[in-house]
Amino acid sequence: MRTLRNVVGAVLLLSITLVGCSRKVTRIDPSEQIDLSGRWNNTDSRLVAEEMTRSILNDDWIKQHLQDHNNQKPVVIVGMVTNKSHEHIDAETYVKDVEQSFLKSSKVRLVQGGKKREELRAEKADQQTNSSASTMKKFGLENGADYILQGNINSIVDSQKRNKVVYYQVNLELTNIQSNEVVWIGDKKIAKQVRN
Amino acid sequence: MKATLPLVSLICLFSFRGWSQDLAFDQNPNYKQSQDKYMRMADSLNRLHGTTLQETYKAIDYLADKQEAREKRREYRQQRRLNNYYYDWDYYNYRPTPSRYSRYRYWHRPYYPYSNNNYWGSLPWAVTFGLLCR
Repeated sequence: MRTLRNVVGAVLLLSITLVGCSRKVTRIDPSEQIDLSGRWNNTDSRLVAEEMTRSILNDDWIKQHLQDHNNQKPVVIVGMVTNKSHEHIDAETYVKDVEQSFLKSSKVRLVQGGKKREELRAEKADQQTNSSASTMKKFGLENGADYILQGNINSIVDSQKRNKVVYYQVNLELTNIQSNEVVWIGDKKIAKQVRN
Repeated sequence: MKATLPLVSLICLFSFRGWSQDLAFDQNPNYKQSQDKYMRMADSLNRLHGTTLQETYKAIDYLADKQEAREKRREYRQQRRLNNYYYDWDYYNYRPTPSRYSRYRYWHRPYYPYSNNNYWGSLPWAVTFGLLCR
């Protein structure tokens, strides 16, 4: 009886040790808020995307453009976002949501920029020599953008021993390429307190 | 020939005039200087479309700085071990002496170079075997 008790106790202890040391992975909803380290995370990106999308599509600049240009929809190209914060943050996680909202709303047209545009032109160049004459795409027929979307990310960190307050300010602005006029500025402020 | 020469000159004059861009309303006549300057640098800047330029700074954070100092100390000790730091210098007797990492320092005991001299990690195993052997 005593031996049996000892064996059961040993097996239990061994199983607890092994289970405690094993890794568990659980799938969660991307919109669920889980803050682990206090650094920039997916929740912050989602909040910024939601606020920017809401602001840019409901502002007056679209109406003004339609009035000035005979009801032609504005064409936007995405420019550069500068991260001047204290962490590595990639703006594409929320800028892509804004681009997607442009297309879904059908209020704004989007043109490709950057390396993807170079890839398109390279494909066009390849077609000049290799594609049939009827399917070959021509140079010089791209849609020129009316506005460029640029932005920056700033942060302020206030820390004292084990307590820290981190403040992020994310700005996006839309500028008329012809006249340099800024027609829209959106911002989202996020503050977090981290206690260790 | 004499009659056609002025006609040819007039035709040439008007065709050359067509090559230059007519100024739009209120356009600065010196636009060409700016255009030439930015035509040269357009490609290098346009390649950055859709990207994030990382111009981060290092924030003052007490805990992060402490952690960084701890990791630097560990790395320093690891590098010292890797460089075969076997000998210190005995200044009193003016001779080399085995360092604390040297296998010759404790010649009477087995040599464990990376041991932390604690066995907490094996406690569950020890208890398990202890219970089985009772």
